[in-house]
Amino acid sequence: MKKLVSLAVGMGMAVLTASTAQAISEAEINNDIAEFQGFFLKRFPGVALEDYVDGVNALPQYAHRRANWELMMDFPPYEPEMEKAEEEWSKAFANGKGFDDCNLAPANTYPVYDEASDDLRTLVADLNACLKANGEKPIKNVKRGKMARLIAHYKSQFNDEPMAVDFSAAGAQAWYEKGRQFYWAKRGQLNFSCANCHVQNAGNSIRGDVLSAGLGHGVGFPVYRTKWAVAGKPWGTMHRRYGGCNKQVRASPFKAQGTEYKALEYYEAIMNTGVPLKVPSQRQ
Amino acid sequence: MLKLKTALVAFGAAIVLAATAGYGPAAQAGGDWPTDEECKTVAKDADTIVKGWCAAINRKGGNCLACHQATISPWPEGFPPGGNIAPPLVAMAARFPDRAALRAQVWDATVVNPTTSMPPFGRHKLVSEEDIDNIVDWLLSI
Repeated sequence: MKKLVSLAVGMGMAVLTASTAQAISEAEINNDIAEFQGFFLKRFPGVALEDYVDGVNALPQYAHRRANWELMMDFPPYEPEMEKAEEEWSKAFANGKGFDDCNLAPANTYPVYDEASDDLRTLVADLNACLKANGEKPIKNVKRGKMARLIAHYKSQFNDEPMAVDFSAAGAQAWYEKGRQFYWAKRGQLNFSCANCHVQNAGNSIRGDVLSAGLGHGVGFPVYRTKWAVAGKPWGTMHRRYGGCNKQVRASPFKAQGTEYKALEYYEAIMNTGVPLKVPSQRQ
Repeated sequence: MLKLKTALVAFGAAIVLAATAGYGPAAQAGGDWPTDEECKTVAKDADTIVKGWCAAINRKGGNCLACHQATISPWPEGFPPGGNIAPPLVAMAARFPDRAALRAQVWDATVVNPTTSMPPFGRHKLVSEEDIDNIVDWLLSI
């Protein structure tokens, strides 16, 4: 009987801790940021917080290939595409208004938590909402092409601004927790979490490739990726990359702009607090 | 002088011991280690060691070299080097005197270390039971 009681108490405690674990405070999130960033700063001495903006190119393990990348950046492959992006951005809507009239948040503060709808506003969602509000057709493909170019154009105006996403609301903290769970949970047939590769093994070689650090993820997006350019679709948003990553660990990808990837984008954005924007970026 | 002689003998003995214990890069008895492409034709009637090697290097099989380096000789020409995420596959027979323990590690490494990056090849059916046996045979040969 005594055993049963202690078992029941134990279970009650477990339920209690499980339910309290759901809520996370602003202080705990700040602690997470310090711990996450501190891990990388210690792992790669000599790589400053703002250097992580260059992704894998910033890591000493990638030094032998950095010169090649720097040469490519003398004439970035995305330059003609950025001219196209500017044209698309400047084209007026049928009602005479344009993207400049959209009520957008500063690029370094996305995703933005909206208290009224208890939802995250991504830049993609805001642009489509703006199109709709002005009687224009929203852009269907939110993973590549025109949508990615429009975001690249808008975000590039905020380059060098440090990431500063707000998470002060309780609802925002619940979204953060959802993203954190996603980041650290193992998934797919290969049983990898995001953290397995991009925290625990950042800088290590997977065959001939170097795994990027989680710190710096997203601040260069949308990216112009050489691998995607070969197939004629060089641009990709964060959610395109997330889907590709999930497929690589042999998990079913989630929907772009769906709950899972929005939460993940939010978590990653918060982990990058203080890292400057550099849009667009070229990745291999 | 005697000291130097003893040291030299000891050093020589260590090399011989290391070589006989299989600590050097492992050669394949039937010739060179086949490449991924050659495995398509070779693997059918090969011994379990070569079958294991073929299952280990295939990207859709074990893909072991994505994370591990292996000490085999000669390294197949044009073959990319192994990764450095996981410990190198060296002196396996000495490190795993118990075959079952090695097989269990390949089958599901999360039992020993829940946060390991190593995929549970058996539990998630990434590799067939037969190929896990072959891979273990190959591992114990290098």
